Amino acid sequence: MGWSRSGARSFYQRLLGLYPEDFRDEFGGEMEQLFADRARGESLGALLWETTLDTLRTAPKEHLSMLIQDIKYASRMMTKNPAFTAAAALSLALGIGANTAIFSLADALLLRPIAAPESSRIVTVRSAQQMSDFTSRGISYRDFTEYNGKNQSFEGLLAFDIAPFGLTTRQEDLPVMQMGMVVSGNFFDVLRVQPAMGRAFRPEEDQVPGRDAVAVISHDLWKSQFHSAPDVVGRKVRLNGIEFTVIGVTPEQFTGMHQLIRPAFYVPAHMFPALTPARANILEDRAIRAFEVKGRLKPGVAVEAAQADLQSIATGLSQQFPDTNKDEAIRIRTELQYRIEQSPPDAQLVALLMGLVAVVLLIACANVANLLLSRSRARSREIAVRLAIGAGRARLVRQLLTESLMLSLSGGVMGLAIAWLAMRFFERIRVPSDLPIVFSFRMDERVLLFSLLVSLFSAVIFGLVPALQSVRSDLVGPLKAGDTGASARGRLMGRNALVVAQVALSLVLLVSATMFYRGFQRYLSASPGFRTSGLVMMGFDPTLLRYSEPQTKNFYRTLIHRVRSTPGVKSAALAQVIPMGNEGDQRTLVPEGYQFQQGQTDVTVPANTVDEQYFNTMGVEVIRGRGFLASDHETAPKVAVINEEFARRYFPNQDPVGKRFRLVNAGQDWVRVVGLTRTGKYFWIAEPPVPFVYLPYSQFPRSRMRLFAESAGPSSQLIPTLREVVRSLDPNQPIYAVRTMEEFYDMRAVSVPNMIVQIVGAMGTMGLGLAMVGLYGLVAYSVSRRTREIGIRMAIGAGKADVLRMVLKQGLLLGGIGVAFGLVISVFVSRILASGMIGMGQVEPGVLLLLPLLLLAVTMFATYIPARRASLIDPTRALRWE
Amino acid sequence: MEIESLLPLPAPVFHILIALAEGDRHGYAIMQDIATRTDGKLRLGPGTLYGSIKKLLEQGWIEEITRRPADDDERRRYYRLTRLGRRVAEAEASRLADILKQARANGLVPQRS
Repeated sequence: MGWSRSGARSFYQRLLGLYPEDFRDEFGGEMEQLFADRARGESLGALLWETTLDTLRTAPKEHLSMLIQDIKYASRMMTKNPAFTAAAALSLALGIGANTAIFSLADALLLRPIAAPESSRIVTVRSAQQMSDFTSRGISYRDFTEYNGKNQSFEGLLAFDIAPFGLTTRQEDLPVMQMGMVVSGNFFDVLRVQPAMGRAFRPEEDQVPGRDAVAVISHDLWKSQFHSAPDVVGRKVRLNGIEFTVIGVTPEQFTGMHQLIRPAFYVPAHMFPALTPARANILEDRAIRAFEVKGRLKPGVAVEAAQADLQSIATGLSQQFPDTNKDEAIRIRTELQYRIEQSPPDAQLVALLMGLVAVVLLIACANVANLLLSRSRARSREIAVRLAIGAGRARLVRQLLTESLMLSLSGGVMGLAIAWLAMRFFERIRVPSDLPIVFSFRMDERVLLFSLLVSLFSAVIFGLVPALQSVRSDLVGPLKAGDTGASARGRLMGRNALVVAQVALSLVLLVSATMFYRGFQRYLSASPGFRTSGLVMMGFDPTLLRYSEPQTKNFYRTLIHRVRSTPGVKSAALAQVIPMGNEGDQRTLVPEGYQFQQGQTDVTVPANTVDEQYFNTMGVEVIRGRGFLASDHETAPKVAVINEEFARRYFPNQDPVGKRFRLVNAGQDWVRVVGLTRTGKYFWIAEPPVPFVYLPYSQFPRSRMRLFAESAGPSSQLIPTLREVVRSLDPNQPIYAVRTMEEFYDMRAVSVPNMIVQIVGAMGTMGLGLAMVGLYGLVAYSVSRRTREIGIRMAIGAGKADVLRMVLKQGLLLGGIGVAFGLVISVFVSRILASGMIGMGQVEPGVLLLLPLLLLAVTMFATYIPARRASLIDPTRALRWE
Repeated sequence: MEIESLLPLPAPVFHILIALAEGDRHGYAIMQDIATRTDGKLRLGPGTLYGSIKKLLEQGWIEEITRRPADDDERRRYYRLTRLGRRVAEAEASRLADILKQARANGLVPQRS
């Protein structure tokens, strides 16, 4: 061995660094000495080997024993001051609970990953019309097979589309509409999801159109339709009238690729044309970019590299198929990026709520820090004594932090209970849809982990400053009984600052809540641009009964005719899409004369297909030109009605009536604009102006349509009558989404904003409550500290009213400074809110005046109790106060 | 506190108490003494040794003494058995003796002449 004796000793010295500091201080020197003693008599190599092993074995033990000591000590301190512990833990429980609850909302809405192993490597592949275009679209099945076959970066790419299908488990039943996923044969393999029963698809089952009618069904469907039958594999289901064999059942935790939509079954993509004859060439036509493509990256492959890889394939396709793939660009998105892109309002809402609820946590932490600081005065003696007898400062900080941690963890446990209650509240969100759209709030390991992290984070926030301050204090001051030292004054300054911050932040929360409230109120009181009451709606899709196109048209023609002549019906109309519904349609078109940006050749605009009575029945006002007429029939020149926003964007500064556009992928005919409507709301009450186009049903028929009937009396009474009308046409015709407009509008437009306002309002109230507890605690503390001073003042002639005024002034001063800061921050925050979240109301000056007054009034109240106590001080006793 | 409730003692602890029963010693001497008495079978590493010493000090079974040979290195500290420590060690010894007696009665211990 090449060890010199001094080298070995310095090595051992470094090894000793593994022990806790206290232990090292106590025994380090001796242990080095012992090592030196032994080094004289024993072989160095063996000694080093033995002591290294010994250190590695015993150092963790020492750390553990110290931790246990700290915990024992901390729990003794906590049980000694139950009021303190309860106040601190409750503050934290509110803060952590609120954060956990909002996280569970964010998780359900946006964050929860796909339920597949190593899902962080699964990314979304989108196409775009050109490199600079930031809007992305799906990928055609043809292109998908090329990307999947030629790339070097992915373990596999998969493709899928989600669509509604009519499902029956017995032939004599009426079909029920269910969401299904049409998937590439490797879907489950790439995801690495093993069916809970049966098997996944074989590669050859997705190769020949219409040949392999096999389906993997979801766990939910297995439970609801097959009553969890163990022999479900091999049984038959009918989808759009075609018989499929069940080959497998998905595991319970796998609920598809989308946070909210749970497909009932999965079928091979090559069955798509047979299931939907209207889209017979969906697997062949490169212009139909209907598929969502995701892929599992090979380990260690970066997104940029994968993107470059696929881009080179895409460029090849562009050259090979210029008609359909010109300038094709590839976009790779992580799951989270993709979801944010798909639904920016959700992401904004989530970010906003997370931000606000973090403020609540900060206020709660300030409260606990304040409590700890007020106690640190009582404890500073104890700490000074321990420092004086040689305890290490690091050790003391560690011990104080252990206490903070235990506080925050007990707060976290209580917070989970609060979060659970909040989650039951969130579950009241109802989505007006017959499709399996599910908000699933779960108290799962992700939520638990999150609340643990929040607890740890808050322990550091509220615990570190008081801990450092405690051990920094000089030894002499606290050992003497008085509390007039500079450190005490500094501590009070710190506490004042905390209370000022609390008041300021709670004002910010209240201003934000008011902004939400005013914003939504404004939107709800304004008309959304369509009738929101006195209507009944129901949905149909005759293709579920495998109606042909002429049969479908005939069905709708007869239906609307019969409904219009039904007593109690004032008017009736057909439309493909319900305004503000969660299923939309869109059309890609080229407005005549519009100057596109370079590389762009068309625009995609939300659209609705409606009949000639729609504008009248729905109360959508045509402000120029005309609506649709019976004369706009199939062979007449094609017409459209657009809204003002469409006109403003694509026919600027011109009369839009008489202008033309061409639809992409729908023949070469020009479509002439014949009418103009106001810009209404099409998806959500708080949306920016959206360009919108209406096309007449007679010229652009669709199979899934909705019937709207305007009733003369209460609209719900019309429902049985209308059902009877449908039954008289075809007793097998399934009817879905039967609702009154009131009910729909309430679910869609009213209840969610109300809930958001309630959530934000609850945060504001919590913040205010916590801040007031903090303020009360501080004033009460300072009164107790100033007992002697107040006694003297009273002895030399100050009256009760003077003392009351003096203490109130202190509270109001803190409150006032807090309000001032809060106002300044509020102005900034309100700007951010108003720009980031569409639909936020501007704060009126009146609100900015009223809220501070409210806050000051509450401040007054919180200060009054200790102030009154101060005014009752008996001077003769106070002077003896030590 | 009932002394019996502290038993049995971990082997290193008992050996340290035995070593100190003979006289006051510093850490290295304790280690050497134990090694000698056990024919080198039990060699306490420094971490084990001082970990045990720390616990013994905390429990008040041993104490540090300030008197030391004048020529000795000042980093060496000397330890002494307290009265409590002695009682604990005695209790452990008699517990082990009882067990040994039972073992012998059942023929588990080879008889020495």
